[in-house]
Amino acid sequence: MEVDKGKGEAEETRKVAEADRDTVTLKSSDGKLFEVSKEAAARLSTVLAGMIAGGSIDDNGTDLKQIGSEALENVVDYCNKHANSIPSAALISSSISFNTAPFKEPEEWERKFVDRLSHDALFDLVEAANFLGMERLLDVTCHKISEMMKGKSPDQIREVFNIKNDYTKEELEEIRQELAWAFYDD
Amino acid sequence: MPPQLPDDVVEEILARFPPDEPAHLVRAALACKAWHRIVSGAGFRRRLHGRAPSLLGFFHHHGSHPAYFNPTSPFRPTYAARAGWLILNGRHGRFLVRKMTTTSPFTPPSMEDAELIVWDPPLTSSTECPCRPSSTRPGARHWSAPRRRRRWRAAATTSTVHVVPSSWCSCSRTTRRRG
Repeated sequence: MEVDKGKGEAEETRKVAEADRDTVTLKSSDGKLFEVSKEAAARLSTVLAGMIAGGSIDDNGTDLKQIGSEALENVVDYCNKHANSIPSAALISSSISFNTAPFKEPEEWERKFVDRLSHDALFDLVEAANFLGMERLLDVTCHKISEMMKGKSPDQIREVFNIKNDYTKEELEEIRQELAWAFYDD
Repeated sequence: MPPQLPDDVVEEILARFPPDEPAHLVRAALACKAWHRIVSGAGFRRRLHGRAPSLLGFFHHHGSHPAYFNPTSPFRPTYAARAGWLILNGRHGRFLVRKMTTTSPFTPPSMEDAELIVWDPPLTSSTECPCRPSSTRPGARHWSAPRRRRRWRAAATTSTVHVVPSSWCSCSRTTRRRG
């Protein structure tokens, strides 16, 4: 915390105390605590912004029962990196609904951020981003997952997403014939 | 084994597919019926078409030569060019096509033998129009395409088509992204 020149020690102490209160503590489903800057949390997550504005933040750790510790750690890590990497203009999209905001390509650091994640960690993070209303993180994680699906056949997609095929053979054949152009490179 | 994603998260992922590559959405819809329901849902379609539609390509033809599809995306209709097909008009990505009885460019089109079909380029099949133009003054009647099966159409746009032949002259038409 920087203190302006000429300010007294008492003020410095007060400012440090204020800085302490500038963070929120989040508790994962398995009880681990994570601190994140209140400003970044409010700016990047509509859900946390609502909780902060509504005063429902618990100083001892706000329970986020739907999010595991690994995903929450990534969320906090993303918030910190985001606050450090992008100074101003690029942050405005956080308050705009995706439905109307054009999708912005992930920045280089955001690509690296999701590239290092394992398959399961990425899926957990996208769920956490959706739960917390973090539009930008949702953009970045969904973009990564949609890239993973590029050029994949329905069979391969099922494998990646661990889903069961509930179509009959006849139904699949009918669709394949009807929309043959979508399967030219199969 | 990766965790299964809830439907609202899947929708977020599918909504971020590249808009000019509709094949991705079709393949995703074939993964399971739940995903098919997501991409066919009204909310998802509104969301897709809330964006500026992508140009997939356009048709052009000269005189009575078959229409030729010029792609501007990876999308290719099943019939890129079909001998004897004359595109008369287009609305919302569907085309009113006259199947000519002669494919010779030197023979003037005969309205007496014309057979009209409504063609939806992403689909293999096409719908024959019940009425024939021989009893019709050009521009005087509306052709209403019969409602067709739409079960498998992922994120399609229109509900019914009313094709109004404003003129019989051949001209280039544009097909817009249909999802």
